[in-house]
Amino acid sequence: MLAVVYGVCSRDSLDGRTLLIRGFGQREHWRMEILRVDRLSKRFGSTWAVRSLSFSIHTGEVVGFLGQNGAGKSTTIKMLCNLVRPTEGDIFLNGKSIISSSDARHRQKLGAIVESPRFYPALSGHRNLEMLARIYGVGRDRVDALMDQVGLSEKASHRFGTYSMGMKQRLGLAAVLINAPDLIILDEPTNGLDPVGSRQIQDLIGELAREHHVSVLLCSHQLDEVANLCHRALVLHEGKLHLEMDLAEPKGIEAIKACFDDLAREGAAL
Amino acid sequence: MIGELARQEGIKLFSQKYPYLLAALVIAVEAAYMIATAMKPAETSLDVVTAPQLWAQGLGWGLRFEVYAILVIGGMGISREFSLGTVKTVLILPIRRYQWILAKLLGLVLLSWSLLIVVVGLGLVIAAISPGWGDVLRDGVRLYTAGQVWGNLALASGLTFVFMLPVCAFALLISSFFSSSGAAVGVTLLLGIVLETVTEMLDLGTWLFIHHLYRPFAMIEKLGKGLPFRWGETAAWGSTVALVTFVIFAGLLIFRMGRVDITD
Repeated sequence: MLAVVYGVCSRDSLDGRTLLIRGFGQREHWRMEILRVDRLSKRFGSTWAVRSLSFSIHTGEVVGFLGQNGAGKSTTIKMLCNLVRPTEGDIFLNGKSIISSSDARHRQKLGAIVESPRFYPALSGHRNLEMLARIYGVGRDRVDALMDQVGLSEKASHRFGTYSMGMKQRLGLAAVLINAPDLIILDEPTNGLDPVGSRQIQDLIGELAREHHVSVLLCSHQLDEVANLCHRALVLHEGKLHLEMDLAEPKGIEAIKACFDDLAREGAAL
Repeated sequence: MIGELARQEGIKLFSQKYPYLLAALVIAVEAAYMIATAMKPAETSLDVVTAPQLWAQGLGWGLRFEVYAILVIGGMGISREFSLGTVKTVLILPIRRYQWILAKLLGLVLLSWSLLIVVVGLGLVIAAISPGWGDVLRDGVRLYTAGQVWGNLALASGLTFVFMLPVCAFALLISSFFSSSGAAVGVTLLLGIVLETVTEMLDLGTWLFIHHLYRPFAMIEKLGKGLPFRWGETAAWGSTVALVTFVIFAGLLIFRMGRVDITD
């Protein structure tokens, strides 16, 4: 069973934007806005991969990010992670732009796994994590604790290239947590894991949001996973926000499934 | 931050085998050439190879192979990050892209300088077994004093550190266009060899930094023939061309990496 090692998150920098949302257990809490995506667009050549996308995420909220292949999910996530430059629009993390600002420290409280965890294969898992820790100014003791918590202590000195898929995912999660982020972006985090490993990761995500008020943007193709973990779901289609659904609503997940059925029929008709 | 990132570049580099193999190749070529030259019997007094000449010849060969080694290592510098996907892990961090690129450049420059120190030092040790450490004499006539000779060798070695800067920036610039390490190394080496050959064949003159790269050692090799040095051109103009070229390559590299989208 995975447990969470987490630091104290400062909320001093927030601009006070708040929203009433439902947390786990359907209780209502006042939450502050962590991420705001404002009319975000990306054009590759003459093709718009993402077109005027706007949404926000609040503290402790787990948001499912859904869509067919090519819907614009990956491009959006890469824009959030500084990998792709937006053509238009802006992204605000804790109220500060991470696009127009030249201060990279505004991304200090962001953690992400894009596609799959990528580390240097010739270095040990511990050394890979330690290198990230030094950039964030985090001590070696936290690296040790995280390696222990994700169950990799015994393999800490082994080269990353020798890790199994599940171990790589665990190390990726440890890397995401190293800076005690306010927002975590996870791109199919249970991909390649066995049922037990998947369940452990899902429990960890739930615990992060519930106990530590970490916000999570969860990109997944598994609707059951989204239904179990997420408060809200965003469905992208052709680069635009097609549907936004509060999953606490009765039949919320049914509406998502119906949406994908409609999209599948549209695709078949074409 | 750039210092820490450069330190990490060193850790990544020395965790792999190929930099050691390339460094060993450079050292082996230099040592083999110098020993073979020292053992070759002289037929006339003009063929006598003095210690500074031997050192200069060894440095010339060592430097040539070091340039190839740095082109290979630099060619893998960024393309390997693309192929492993680690560029995604790095760019998510709260650092600016130019900081990462400057750290890569600094790491490669420090590696090339370290190897250069080894090459210069090894040459000196092997040259020590040869005669002729004092004035350069030919048939009883003093061509150069020992001070002139060793001063010029020291200056030539120092200039070489400056000339390595554009080589490093060039290798990383080419590397940034490829997501396959093999393709990047191949193209970087090919372009390096083509640039060197075309410069020599067409006598493109002193505007290209590569023209100046081996020139100091070629001049020292001719010591025994009593040819004059032209240090003014090599030291001042050569250094200027090398530094300007370095700034252009580094600027292009930072511009390119600042705008590239990591889509794969």
